[in-house]
Amino acid sequence: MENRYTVSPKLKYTSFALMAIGVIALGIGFSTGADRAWANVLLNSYYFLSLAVGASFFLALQYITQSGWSAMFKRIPEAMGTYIPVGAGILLLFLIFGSHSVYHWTHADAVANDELLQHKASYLNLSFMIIRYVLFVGSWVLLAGMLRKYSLREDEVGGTKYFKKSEFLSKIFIFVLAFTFTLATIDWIMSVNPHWFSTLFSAKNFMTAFFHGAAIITLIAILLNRNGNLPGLNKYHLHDFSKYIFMLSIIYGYLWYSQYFLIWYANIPEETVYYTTLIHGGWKSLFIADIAINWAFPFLFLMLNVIAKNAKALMFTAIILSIGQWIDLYLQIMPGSTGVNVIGFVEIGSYLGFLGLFIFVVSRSLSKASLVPKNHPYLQESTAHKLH
Amino acid sequence: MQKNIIGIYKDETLIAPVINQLREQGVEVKDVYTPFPVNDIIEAMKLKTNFPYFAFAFGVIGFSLTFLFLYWTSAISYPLVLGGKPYLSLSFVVIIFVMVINVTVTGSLIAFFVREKKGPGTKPKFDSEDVNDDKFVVFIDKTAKMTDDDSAKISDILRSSGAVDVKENV
Repeated sequence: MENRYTVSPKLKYTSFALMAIGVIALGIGFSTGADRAWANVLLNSYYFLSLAVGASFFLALQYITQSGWSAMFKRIPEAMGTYIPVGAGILLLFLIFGSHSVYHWTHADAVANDELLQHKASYLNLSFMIIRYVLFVGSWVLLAGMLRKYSLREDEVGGTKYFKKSEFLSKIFIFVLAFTFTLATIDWIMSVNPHWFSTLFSAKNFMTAFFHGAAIITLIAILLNRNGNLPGLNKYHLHDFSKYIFMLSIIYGYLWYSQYFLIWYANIPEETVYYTTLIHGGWKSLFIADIAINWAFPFLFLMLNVIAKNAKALMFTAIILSIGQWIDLYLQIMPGSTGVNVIGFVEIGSYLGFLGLFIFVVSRSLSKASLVPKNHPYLQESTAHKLH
Repeated sequence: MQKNIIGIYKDETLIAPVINQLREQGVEVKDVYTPFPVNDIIEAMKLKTNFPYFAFAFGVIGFSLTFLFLYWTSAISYPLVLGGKPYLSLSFVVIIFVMVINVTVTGSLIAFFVREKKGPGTKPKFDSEDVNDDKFVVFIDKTAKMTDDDSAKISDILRSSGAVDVKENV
């Protein structure tokens, strides 16, 4: 059964328009203050890169657990995974040209008068950071690309050979991802506050990537279904998707609380200062909104069975969560870089610009292969999926 | 003594269609006994449960009681400053989290036994060798106004749908 998705011209031009808005917003940003614009570039490129990585992690998990229900949707995380090289390319431009605007530790005079930064300098320096970047992104591009390639070969050849290969590759992938993504978040996000450290930080960001990646996969699946491309999506699939979001929202809340609580309780000044800035430095409403949107809202909203199986309610949840992730990253990056809490045209416009790029890349990748994998061994189970 | 017609099956996939088939004939299946929950049968029987709401209510009760208890002990009855932290502190969350799970689970368990009128020493509703182990049993009420023809027709439907054995007047 050939089920092709074609990018409608409307969607294509919308993504171009969004990209144009992004270019204008960043243009205004660079002309008014380069620091603010670069901080936004970091935020948005990391935001969508983490969605792509989270989606690839989701895909790998489906292989490892031999999940039947999701076999029909695996082109969606695959297509999101193809954003990794694009998003990482922009991040590389940022690291080369913009890191001076965001990272305090790149200033030689700051390091010269700072014993702590001198101590960290052997690891936290720009050239070594670029080398690490190449290792991290290279491994993701390679492994996610191989998963995609195997999946496309499976469409032509059939059999279980490529499924078994993918399963084995996925086992390597999650280990590599756990290690590299952890270090990558420390490099790109945590080093915005070079004096502060938290051992839970990277675990929290890894799970956040998975969490919001799963939410966006759900959103894309529902949108494709409404467009008439995925007629097989039934309420049991939706229920499974909402279970993912529900479960991951609890993990998010758990990690958020663990990090906050341990720092609050131990009360070590160099750790506490991070949260002191957030709570008493004019970020308090967003700080509360972060945990309210990312944990309390999906936790309470998706608890009801009727809502958990409702496509519109799930779409609403996914959209709210995408705002929640933006707030989460905004709070991680802005206090340590620009230090001012302004959400204006530069912030929103640059977000829309990256969103346009993401839509363009993902929809193009979706249209390149049959939307429903053809010879996946669990396809039958996925289309006949019911709650058991 | 209530009379029933029972159909005994070895395969759970046959049961959901027969429930719908009997409903078309105007016969409601009273109950289905299965060794494990089968979603198709639950849907065909149109069974609804209020248990999730019970569980949620117990969760809310557990939350409030634990919070009140912790607040009373650490802020009203014996206020003690520990490590410069306020009386009403975030450390409540850990205990509340555990207690919510505890109260929800025990509360749901008790509510289940009360609603099903089950407990140690209660007699089973239906005790027969036919209803045990790996068998799936469909129960139909044999009402007073049901003629022999009607019950024979029901037995036929059960038998033709793949029942291993059909028994009347048990």
